[in-house]
Formats: sequence, structure tokens, C-alpha cells
Amino acid sequence: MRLHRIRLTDFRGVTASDVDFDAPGVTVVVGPNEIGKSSLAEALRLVRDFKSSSQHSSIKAVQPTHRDVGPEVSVELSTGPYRLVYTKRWLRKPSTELQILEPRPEQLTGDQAHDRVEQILADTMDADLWTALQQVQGESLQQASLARVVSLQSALSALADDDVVGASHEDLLDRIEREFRRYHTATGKPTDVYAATIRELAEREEAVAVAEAHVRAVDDVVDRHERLTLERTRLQVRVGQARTDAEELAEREGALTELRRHHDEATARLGQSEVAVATARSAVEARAERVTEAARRTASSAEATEAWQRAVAAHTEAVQRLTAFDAARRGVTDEVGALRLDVVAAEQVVRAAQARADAEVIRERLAGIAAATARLEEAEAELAANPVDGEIVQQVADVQARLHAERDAAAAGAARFTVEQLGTAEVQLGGEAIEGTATRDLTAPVDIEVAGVVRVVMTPDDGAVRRRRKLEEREHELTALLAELGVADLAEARRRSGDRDDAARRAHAATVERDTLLAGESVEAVRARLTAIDTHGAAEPTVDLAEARVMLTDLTERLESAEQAVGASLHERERILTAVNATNERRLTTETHAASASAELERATARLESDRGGHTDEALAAALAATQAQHVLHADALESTRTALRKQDADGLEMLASNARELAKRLVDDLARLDADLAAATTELEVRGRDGLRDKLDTALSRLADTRRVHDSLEARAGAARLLRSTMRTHRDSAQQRYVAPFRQAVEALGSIVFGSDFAVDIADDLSIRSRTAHGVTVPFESLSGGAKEQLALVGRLATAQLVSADDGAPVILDDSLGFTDADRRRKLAAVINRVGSTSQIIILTCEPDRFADIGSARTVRLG
Amino acid sequence: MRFVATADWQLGMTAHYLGDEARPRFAQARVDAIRSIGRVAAESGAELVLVCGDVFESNQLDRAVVARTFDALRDVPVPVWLLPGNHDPLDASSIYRSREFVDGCPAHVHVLDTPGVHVVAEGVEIVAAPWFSKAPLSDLVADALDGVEPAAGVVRIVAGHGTVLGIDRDDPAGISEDALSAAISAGRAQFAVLGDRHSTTEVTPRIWYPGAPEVTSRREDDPGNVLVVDVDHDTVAVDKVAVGTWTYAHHQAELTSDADVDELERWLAQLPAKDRTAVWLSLTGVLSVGEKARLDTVLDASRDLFALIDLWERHSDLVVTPADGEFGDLGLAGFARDAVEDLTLRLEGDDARAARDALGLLYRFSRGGAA
Repeated sequence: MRLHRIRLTDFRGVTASDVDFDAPGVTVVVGPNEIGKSSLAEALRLVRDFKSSSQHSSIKAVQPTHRDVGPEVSVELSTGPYRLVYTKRWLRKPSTELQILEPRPEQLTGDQAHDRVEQILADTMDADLWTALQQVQGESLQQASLARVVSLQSALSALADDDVVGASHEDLLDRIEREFRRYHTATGKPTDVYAATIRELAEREEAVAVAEAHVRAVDDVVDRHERLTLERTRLQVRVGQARTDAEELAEREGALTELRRHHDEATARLGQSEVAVATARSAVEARAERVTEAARRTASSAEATEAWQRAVAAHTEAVQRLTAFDAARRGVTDEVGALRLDVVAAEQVVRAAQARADAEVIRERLAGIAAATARLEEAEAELAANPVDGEIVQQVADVQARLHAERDAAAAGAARFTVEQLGTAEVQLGGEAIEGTATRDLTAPVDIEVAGVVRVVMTPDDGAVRRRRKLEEREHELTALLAELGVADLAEARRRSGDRDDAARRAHAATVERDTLLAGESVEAVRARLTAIDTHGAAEPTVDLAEARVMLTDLTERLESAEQAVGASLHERERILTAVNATNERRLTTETHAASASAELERATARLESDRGGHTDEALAAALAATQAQHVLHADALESTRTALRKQDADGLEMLASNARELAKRLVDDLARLDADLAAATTELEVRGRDGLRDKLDTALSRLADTRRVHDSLEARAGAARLLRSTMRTHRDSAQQRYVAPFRQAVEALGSIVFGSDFAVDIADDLSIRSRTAHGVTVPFESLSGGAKEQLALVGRLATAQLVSADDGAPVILDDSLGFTDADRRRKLAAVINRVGSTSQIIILTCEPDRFADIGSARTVRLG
Repeated sequence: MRFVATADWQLGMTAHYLGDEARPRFAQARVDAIRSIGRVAAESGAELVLVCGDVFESNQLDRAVVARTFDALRDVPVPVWLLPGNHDPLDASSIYRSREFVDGCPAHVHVLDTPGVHVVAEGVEIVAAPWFSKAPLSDLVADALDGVEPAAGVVRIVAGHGTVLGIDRDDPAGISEDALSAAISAGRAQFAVLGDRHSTTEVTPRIWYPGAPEVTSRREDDPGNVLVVDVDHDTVAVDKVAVGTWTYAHHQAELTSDADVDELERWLAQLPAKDRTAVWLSLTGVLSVGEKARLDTVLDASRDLFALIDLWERHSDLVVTPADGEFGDLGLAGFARDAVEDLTLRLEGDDARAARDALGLLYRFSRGGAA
């Protein structure tokens, strides 16, 4: 179908507009605005959908406002063999006219015309294609819905290399799917019944395994029972054998008992003789020991006696040496005694001379002391007569000083007046007459009288009176003090004080001298000493003191040298005495030793003699020889019994017999255990054998067989359905891919201009674009940007228009497209549109003609 | 002396390969066989019935089987002598020693529970070789005959169980045919009845396997019989009498066309007593998908009639391949035709069976057949 011309009259804002379209070719229709540009698309819709009598709101919406006119649309188009003009007016003077131009002219009006148009379009036009190629305003991002566009399908089928598309086999696929779904879920898992069978099969296999195990367990018990029975038979034989063996060996062992007793006795005897030999040998050895000891004692006794005799000799010699020394020493001792007496006498002489000298000194001292005492007493008498000391002088001076100060103060504070005698008349001042002038201070009331002429009484103020009184008191105090001291004035007091100080100094000097002479002693003590010397030593003054002292020194020196000589000899004597003591000690010690050794010798000799009294040495030696001979005999006897036992293999026999006894016992125990095991097995079989375990196994096997039959059958059918379904789907998908190939190629051929040479798309079965690959990156359609979506959707429509043959085709109508596309892509798309426009009809509705300015062959028309 | 020889009753055996419905009938048939044997004994005038081993399937059976067995045995009018075999040996768990057996045993039923000679009637002795374990280590029959000397006026029958040597030389418990024949030739015994082979088998004119009275396995050649034996020192006559009511059939067929499928259908149809017949089919050949679909229909229909219809997979090799134009006529085009080709290729591969079934499904669906 192709549009040739659309005429709008009183349609919305358009009063009258006549638009011709190129077919094929690109026509850009520019509308005044958003609404205006879509008027064409709307007119095409309304003219088909509504009869001229319609009062539908869509119709009313396109009626011009404020004008009482009916909207009118006239369309000229060609479709199939037809070319026609179809005109409709609504609301005001509604009318429908159809003028068929080709193939045979025909004219129709009213509903007839409407129905005829619908019939022609239904016969010749693919309505789905018409819808698919219209890109409605605001939906430029959506792909055209191509799944059911028959004309495209036929075009693709024609291009595909076989008839794949012809056979959709929808029903067959449905049946296969239903069959598949009998056994499988949508995801291919077994359905309830099938799954239950699979589960049941596993369960029943398990049940069979369990039942088999039970049967096998009983079989095992049966086997065990058989084995035990067999073993028991063998064991019984062995028990008999073992008992026989044990008895025979016991008998043989009995015969050996006598021999064994002999052996034991011989062993005992040998033991006894061993003891006897040991006793005899120890007796001989004890005797030898005694003899040896006696000899040893004799020797040591002789040695001790000799040592004692040597010590006695040494001691005697030492004593003789001491005696000789003492005799030689006696002369020196006597000289010392005489010298000592002389020294004593000389000392007495010296002492007497000394006493005399001492008495003279004391006497001189006593005289000094008496003189000092007399001076002291004189000075002290002076002091007692004169009490005026420095302190008192100061006291007088202070009182006098204050008096002077107070007098000055009284004078200074009092009024001063002067009385002058002018005439001759006597002037009396204070009762005393004056001559010339008299100046006074007014310190007390005073009368000035000129007898018979005048008397002036002057009275001082209170302060002056008070000061006057105080001055008088101070004068009294000084007078009293001086009187008390017995002096006339301060100067005399000072002289008296100087006298007193002098007396005090003298008293002090006398005291110091006296104390020095006394030297801490009392006068009485000094005097007593003198008295003592006078009474005792006051002998004849024969010898001078110095002389006596020389004599004494000489004597003393002589005595010291004599005493040193005595000391030296005393030292020598000590040495000699020590030697005497040492030799004496040695003598005593050796004497003791000698006595002790002698006693030991005596005892040893006595013991030996006593022993020999019992048994002589020879007797003991004989006894030892006898017992040794006995021992040899007993050892031989034992060896012979031992040999006899060995010959009988007694040990082996005993081992065998005891082993046989133990074996028999053990075998009997084994037999008992075996019997117990057998009884247990029998009981177990009695209990379990009657359970019908074999029947249970058979039942389990039967159930398993039943389930297996069902399962195998189900599995075969499910497998067949699965295989059939998957095979069919695989081939259908690959056919589908072959089918969509030309569409994909067309889209890629056009799109590569816009998206680049490596542009590729994945086309779904419904011919929608699933994803785009550009610059090596594949992106699902839904995830693309708005611009890319818009461009791809447009390319899809253009490819469709290109693929559908011109006769079957429909115009591509783009209402407000490329709003999301940038200028660069728009230029490229312009080239694509231009290319497709050379074979298809493309109508672009826009209010922005600049967007499509680059389409080379486009013709632009304006609406209204 | 006339007696009925039988063996391998295998009472208590379960055929788990059968369906739910057939299984109890099959089990009951084994008990019913005892009564049939009783009738044979009565009709032939036999003096006794000798059962040579494997009377019971196992020692570990529910003891209820004993009561059912005795119930049937009471209908046997002559003495019955039972020999323990390898399935029911006289071991510690022996069913013959169970309280139920000992307490309930009818007076005319005897167990040959000791090896050697049992006097069973005037001038008639049985030399029994019962099993005491599942794996004896010697020829029990030879052991039982040891020391048995010829006796004038006495007919001796050897009762044994096991394979005769020559069949399985590795079996230590194998019965030496030479020794047994020699004993019979020497007049130490006059006849030997052996159990263990379920098919009736003549080893020598005086040594026989009577076989199982009712079939037990699809491998058996000639089951379902008992022997009526007439024997004395000079003559012997053995009469094989069929008592079995069940048939196990193994049928081999080569299928290459619809006609072959028809033939198989006819063969199945002519079989008698279908409810007591189990059929194992070994199918070989090549069928088209359509023919195979028909074969499936035929077999499905037969399954409702027979006790068992089963494909013996190991012995079958049936190839299914689409015939020329077979799918072309069904209006398949495009990818569906590709799928058919793909599946046809797979018929040669590992999942041949699934591919075969898938093609069958496709065939049915395309033709508008029932889903």
C-alpha cells in the first residue's frame, strides 16, 4: 500500500491542507507544532476507524474550536491492483465517498463506500505490517512487532534456502510437548508419577538387598552350625585321644616316683655333708688363728718392755741435770738479796731530805696567804663605808637632768613681764623691792606694788601653775636624794663613787693572790701538812738530798743487773725442768704399755692352752679329712640317681604328662564352648528359620519386578518423548535461525552504516532484535541507551520495509522520530533513510525539520 | 513293582517375573500338581510315590507351606517318600525338622532322613542319599550304596539328587554315572531316580530324572511330567505322564515385514491355555516404524491374555528404521523432516532404542493416532 495524497479540511488547526507523497521516496511533513504534525497520522487512523456518522470523542477532538464546521479527510492511495480516493466528513454534513480509479473505475458513497474500503484493504494489505511500520509518536524506542507479519514471513521464506517456514507443525509440537509433560516437568525433571516410580524402584531394590541379607544371614548360621557340628565330632575324637594320652603318661610317671625319692634323699645327704665339711674346716682355721695370735702377742710384749726401760734411763739423766744446775745458781741469788737491803736504806735517806725541803716551801706559802688576807679585809672595810656606786650616781644625774628640762619648760610656757622703776617710789615685786628693771616669768601669782600707788596682781594660767608645781616636786626629790647620800651635789657623788671602785679593785687583787697560794687547799690543811713533816721527818739533817739521791741511783743500777742474771738462770732452769717432766711422762706411758702387752700375752697363751686341752691340732686336721671323704661319697650317690632319672627322660615325661592333662582339660572346655555355640545357633535357627525369610525375599523380588516393569516402561516412554522433543526443538531452532538470517543480514547491512562495520545483531525467533554487538561488545537491547534503541528500532523498520516487496509493502511512517539521536548519528541515519527511500515509501512527520535536513532525496512539505 | 517317580516340586517358589495376577496362580499350580500326582498313582496302581529332592524351594520358607503341602499329600492314596535335596537339605534349619512338619506329617508321608537302605514295603527298599548341607563334598549316592550287597527277592530303588558326572565334572557332589550303572549292573539296585534336573531325562534305561511336575524356568526343555516306573530284576518300563498345567515358551521369530508380524500374531493366538502360559520372545530382523508400531499393538493386546509376554532382550535384535516414504506421506516438512532424519541416524547409535521409540511416537502423532 502506498499513500499518494492526503487532503485535510477543517481538521483541528488546519483549515485546508493538501499533501502529496512520493512513492517510493521520502516525504518530510512539517507540522506547525507537536499536535499539528500528527494530524496526518491521526487522519489516516480516523478515516478508517470511524464512519462519517460517528460522534466519537476522537472525532470531536479534531473539530476546529469555535467554528461550526465538520472535519474532512480525503486520502488517495494505491493498494494491490487498486488506486482509490477515499473522502470522509464527520459531524457537519457527514458524508463518505469512495472513488476507485483502478483497475476499474467505481464510485460509492455512505456505508457502502466504508465497507468497500475495508474489504479492499483486508484483501490487499497486511494490517500487521501497516501497524509495524508506523512508529507512533512517543514510542520511537520500541521495536516494531514483527512476529505475525505475514508479508515479512513470506518475504523471508522466499529468501531462505528451503521451505522450513512453511511447516510450523504447531499441533505436532503441542502433542510432543504434552507427551513430554506427561513424564517431565517444565524444567525436565521427572513428574510425580515417574519420579515416584524411580523412588519406588530404589526403595524396592533396597528392600531386596535387605531381604537377601536376612536370608544370607540364616544361611551363614546354617553354615556355622554345620561347621560347628563337624568341629565337635573332631573335637570329641581329640578329647578321647588326649585323655588316653594323659592316663598313659600318668602311669609312666608313677614308676618314676621311687627313683625321684632316692634322688631327693641323696640331695639332702649331700647337703648335710657339705655342712659337716664346712664346720670341720672352720675349726682348723680357728685353731691356726689362735696360734698365730699367741706368737704375735709375745713379740709385742717384749718390744713394750724394752721401750719402758729406755724411758726410765732418760728420766734419771734429766733429774741429775736439774740438781746440778740448781747448785750452781744459789750464789747469784744471795747477792741480789744484799743489794735489795741497801737500796731500801738509801731510799729512806732520800725521803728524809725531801721532807725537810717541803716544810720550808709550805712555810713561805702560809706567810703569803696571811698578807693577802690582810689586804682584802682593808679593802672590804672601805667598801662597806661608801655606798655610792655608779648606779646611784646615774640615778642622781637622771633626776637632775629632768629637773633642768622641766625648769626650761616652765620658763618657756610662762608669760614674761618686765617691771621698771621709773621714779623713786619703791616698787615691790612679790614683796621685794626692785631697782631698775626686773624681768620675770609669770609662773605663779605675783604682786607688783607701789606702795600707795598701785598694786598689780598677776595670776598665771592653769598650765603654768601645773608646771610650776611639778618643778617644785622635782626639786624636792633631788634634794632628798642628795641628803640621803650625804653629798652636796652630783660632782661629789661622782668622786665618792670613784673611791669605791678603787677599793673594790684592791679587794679583788688580794683575793686572787690568796687563792693562788692556797691552790685549792684550805689554810688549815696546809698548816696540818707542815705540822706532820715537823713531827716525823724532823730528824738530824745529816745528808744532803742530792747526795742521797746519787747513792740511791747507784745502788738501784747494781740491783737491776744482779736481778737480770738471776732471771736468765731461771729461764735455763725452766727448760731443764720441762725435759725432766717429758722424760717422766714417757716413762709412765711405756710402763703402762709394757704391762698391758704382758697381760694380753698371758691371756692369749692361756686361751691356746685351754683349746688344745679340748682338741689337739692333729685331732682337728683328722676330723676335716674324714668329713671331706664322706662328702665325696654323697656327691657320687646323687650323680648316679640323677643319671638314672635322665635315662628315664623324667623331665620330658613330666612335661608331656602335664601338657596332656592341660590339653585334655582345654579340649573339654572347648567342647563345652562348642556345645554352647551350637545350642545358640540352633536356637537362632529355630527362631529365624520359621519366619519365612525366603518368602519375604520372594515378595520383595516380585515387588521389585513389578516396579521395574512399570519403571522401565515409563523410562522408555519418557526417554522417547524427551529425545523426540529435544530433536524437534533443535531442528526447529536451527530452521528458525535460517529463517531469520535474511532479516538479520538486512538489519546489519543498514545498521553498519550507523554503528560501524563490525555491527552485528542477534535476532530472536519473533524477529525482535535481542542484542546488539558493536566494537566487539554485545549488549542486550533492553540495556542499550535511548539513542541506540531508537536507532535500532528505526533500522528494524527500514529493513522490514526493504525486505517486503513493493506490492505487499506499506509506508514507513515516522511520527516525531530521532529525538534521542545525536547529530552525528542523525546524519548517518539520513543516509540509511535515503537508501531505503529509493525503494520504499517513507513519510516523516515532524515539527523540527532540521532533524531530517540531511536526507538527500527527501521532499519537505508543510502542513496547513 | 510299580511306583511313581518325581522330583523338584520346589514348593514355595515364587515367579517374581510374572505379574501380580499370575503369580499366586502359578504358586497354587505347584500344590495342585501334588494332587495330579496322587491321581496318576491311583490310576496306575503304583505302590508308592518317591520324590527325589527339592520338595521345598528353601528351608527358610514360611511354615504355612507345610500345612498346604500336607493337605495336598493327604489326597495321595499311597505312601509318599520324600528325599531332602540341595534346596531343602537336612541342615540345622531344615524344614523337615521344623515343629510344623514333625507335628503335622501324615502317617503315609515319610522323610528319607538317613543315608542307606530304607525298607518301604515287602520286598521293596529305597537306598536313599539325602543332602545334609547345600554343598556336600562327596558323591552321596555312591556313599549310600557303599556296602549294599545284592539281595534276592528285593527290588531296590536308589533315590538321589544332583547332577550326574559328565554334566558338571567340577561338582564334588556329582553323581558318578559309571559307579551307579555298575551298581545296578551288579544287582545291588534295580533303578535310580534322581532329582535336580527339571526336564525329564533318561540317563540310562534304569537311571532317570523325572523332572519337575510343573515348569519352573524358561530354560527347561521338557518339564511337567512324572514317571510311572515298572521295575523288577529283569525288566523295566518307564511311562512318562504329563501332569503340568503351565507352559513356559521361548519363541524366536525373525520379523521383516507386516506379514511376519501377522505370523507372530497368529502363533500367539494358537497357543492354548494362555492364562497359564508365559512367552519369551526373541525377535530379530528389521521393521519399519509403522510395522514396529503394529508389533507393539499386537504384543500389548497379547499381554492381556497371557500370564506373561516378555521380550528376551539378550536374545533379541530388532532393528526399526523408517521405510521409504513412510514419513513423507505424513506431511512432515521443514525441521520436522530434519528431525526424522536425525532420529533415523540415531537408530545406529547408543540410544537406538530411545530413537526407535521416538520415531514411533512421531509416527503416531503425525498420523493423528492416539497420544
